[in-house]
Amino acid sequence: METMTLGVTRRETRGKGTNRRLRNAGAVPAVLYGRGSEATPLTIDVRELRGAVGGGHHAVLQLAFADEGPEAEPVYAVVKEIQTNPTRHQILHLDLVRVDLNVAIESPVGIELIGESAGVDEGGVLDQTLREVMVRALPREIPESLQLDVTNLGIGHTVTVADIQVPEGIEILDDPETTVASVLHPAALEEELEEAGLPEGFEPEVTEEGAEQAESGEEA
Amino acid sequence: MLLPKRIKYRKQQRGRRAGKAKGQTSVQFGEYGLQALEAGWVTNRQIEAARVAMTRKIKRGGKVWINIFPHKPVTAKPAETRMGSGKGSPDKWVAVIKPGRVMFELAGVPEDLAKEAIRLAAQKLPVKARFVAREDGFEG
Repeated sequence: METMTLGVTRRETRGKGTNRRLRNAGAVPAVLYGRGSEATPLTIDVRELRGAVGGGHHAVLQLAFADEGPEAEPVYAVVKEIQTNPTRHQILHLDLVRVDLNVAIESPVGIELIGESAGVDEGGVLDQTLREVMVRALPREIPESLQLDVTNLGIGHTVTVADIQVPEGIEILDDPETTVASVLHPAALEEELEEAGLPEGFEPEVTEEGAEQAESGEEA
Repeated sequence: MLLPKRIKYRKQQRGRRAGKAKGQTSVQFGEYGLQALEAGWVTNRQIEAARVAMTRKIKRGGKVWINIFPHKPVTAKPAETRMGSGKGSPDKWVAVIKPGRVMFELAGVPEDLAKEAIRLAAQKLPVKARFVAREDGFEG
């Protein structure tokens, strides 16, 4: 994981009104916590933030406080949570957690499937059921993604977490038996072309408890 | 057609549709999705129509997920009936949709085909919706 510098300003104001004004002015409210220190409210310029978390990639961030000079002790953090507006893809708030570069952390890492699988050439559909695994490593050693070769994957075959080749110093915390991807048989997908669910005109069964309550309600 | 197998009460009140979706606002299972941009009721017939439109377009190439379920019964009175005499009988089943909800997902097809399939599905729904991809970044 690369290290990026992120300019931040300490924030004295709280509450939704001031945070809305901050967002309208092109800033994002954030908070920094972790490693036994008090939570510190921050403000981050949205353009700086886009570079750091824009593509969803997670880097180790070296925080440059606006009120401190370059000689100040460096503070390193990783993104813990990003709150977004679901319809506008806008960042509403950011949680940063302090890290020590010499202490291992746990972090989710994406799985990237590489190669054209043999089963897909035969008409199957590659279905990736697991997109991320939790890994434990030093902050700077956490990779942006882990690659898994699916070239030899035939129809009906699966690859599991155990098949992921991990660089030295990285430990995967997920169950090795968990399926990452499989090539589905075309026949299994044909069922989807038929109507899903129950036949039209089906009357759902009313539970006894609900029916009793409805009856007593009518009597009253 | 999607509808519940067992229910506690035959009829429900209409409820409110204020606010945005709380969960399922991003693509979880597939690579592409159809995200609602306004609130509304989507009936089980509309869900089925959208699913059929999508699966026919992608033929046998991909996999489709339906992330919404019509849990809510909606009642109606028969045509040309005088008002009164209580609530009507259950007529259809709807899913309550709020802005941001990813209703359908798709995987295993090229992006241009997915876009076209999702456009066709969106036409069958009573809410405005847009195509979203898993890798969509932030606009700041």
